[in-house]
Amino acid sequence: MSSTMPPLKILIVDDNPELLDVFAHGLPLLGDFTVFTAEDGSSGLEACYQHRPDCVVVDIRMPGLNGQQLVKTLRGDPATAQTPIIVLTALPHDQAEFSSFAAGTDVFVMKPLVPRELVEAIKMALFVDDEERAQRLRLLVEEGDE
Amino acid sequence: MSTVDSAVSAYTALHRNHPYEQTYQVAMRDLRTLRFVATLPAGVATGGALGLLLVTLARPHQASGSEFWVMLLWGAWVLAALCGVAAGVSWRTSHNLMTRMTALRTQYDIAVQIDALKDQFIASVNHELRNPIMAMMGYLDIIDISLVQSKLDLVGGYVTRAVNAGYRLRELINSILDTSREDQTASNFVPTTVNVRDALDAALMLLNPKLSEDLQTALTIRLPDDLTIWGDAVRLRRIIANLLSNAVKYSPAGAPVEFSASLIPIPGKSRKETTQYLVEMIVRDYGFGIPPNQISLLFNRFVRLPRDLTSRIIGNGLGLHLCKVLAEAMDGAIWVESNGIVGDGSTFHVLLPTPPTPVMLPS
Repeated sequence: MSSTMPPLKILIVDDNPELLDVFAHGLPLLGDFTVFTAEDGSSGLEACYQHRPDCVVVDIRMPGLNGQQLVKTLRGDPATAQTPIIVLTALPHDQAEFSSFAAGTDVFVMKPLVPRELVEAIKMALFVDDEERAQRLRLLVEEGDE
Repeated sequence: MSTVDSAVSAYTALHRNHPYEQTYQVAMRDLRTLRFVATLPAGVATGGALGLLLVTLARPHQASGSEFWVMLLWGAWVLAALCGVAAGVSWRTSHNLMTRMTALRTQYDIAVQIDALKDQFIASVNHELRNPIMAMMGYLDIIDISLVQSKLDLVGGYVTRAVNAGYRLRELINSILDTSREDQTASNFVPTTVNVRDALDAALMLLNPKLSEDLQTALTIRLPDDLTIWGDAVRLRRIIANLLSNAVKYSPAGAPVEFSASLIPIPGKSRKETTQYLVEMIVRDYGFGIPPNQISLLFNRFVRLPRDLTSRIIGNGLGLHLCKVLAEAMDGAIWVESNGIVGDGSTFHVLLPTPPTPVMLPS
């Protein structure tokens, strides 16, 4: 994140408007971030194709298209298959339940979390190299075949 | 040859006389298709191995804790039956053993249900608490960053938002504590005659402004003005307010809500007993409905339907529980009918006693 780089585009998809507000205000204070937000999975998907974010933050439990479906869709499309994804969970239980789809995500973080912690998670997600992601993607495909 | 088949043939080779070998195919909802192989070698009445019960599943599967329980109980069942046969005990003794096993099974089922309720409590409380906590922590974090970066102009607005999140958190915690108190004090009241229309009007005042605004256009009321119940005004008002607010909350905007109440006759059991009357209140909505398999859970404390946990409808899973506690405290009852089809909605029924008929003194 040197000054020569364009701002990192972060898309946050969560059904809680307050959380979106917190991160939309918080992230730009902490670094060179442009934050886009969406309140459900399908508008998140739309925003993803519209803004081409550098990292997507997704809540698991959402009305309509949920986090799991959103991650699968993003991973299934070559245009977004390499985009780092962070999944927000409220229950440790969710992480176990969606273990198959965990393969498609780069970082799992537990709610509640504050903007500074999200920035750490984003840095971590950006670190996952393409080879590692490809391997996780294969796992996801194999799980999907079952 | 599978591991199971080889185990069976090894066992059979060992005990060549096995007149009781049976194979059952049992299709269970939870366990997929299981194959049961039970064998009992002749001549082994007491001591040693009685037989072999093999339970196999069509595909590799890591059995969960509850599946192990079920298998263990089935094993015990078969064992009880086999013991009966082998030891030549009477059918009755064997039957008694089976009955005890069934009782055990029932207890187990209850334990599983309680466990599921506990999980649901954790899920719903977690879901409702995390949002204000996250908002509060989030805004405080931004305030902290802003202070460090000396962006003081931003701080004021974030402080207000953090404080508001704190208030909501307190409200939520209070409502959780209130219900446990109301559970205990629900029957501390002196019954009087309460007019249903008055209670309805008071209930409409209780609702928050947004809800009552929605209700004004949506609600149709059908009830005789002089209809009364025997109970407590505050409790009746709470029941009506909770049911009406649910009807609006769990329906699309503008969907109709109907409130009606009437006297219904309960015929006496014998000729000598006169017909009694009860008041039936009905709150009907055309909202999302309740899946029939989730209805039995609905009136439990802290229960929210799985659907609601992923929706934007805020609730703490206490409203209907409170309705049930209060209705029962007034010697009444509450239940719901719904086919779970969106748009067909739900119909909540509340039965309450009528005021006792005054004894007519000869004039």
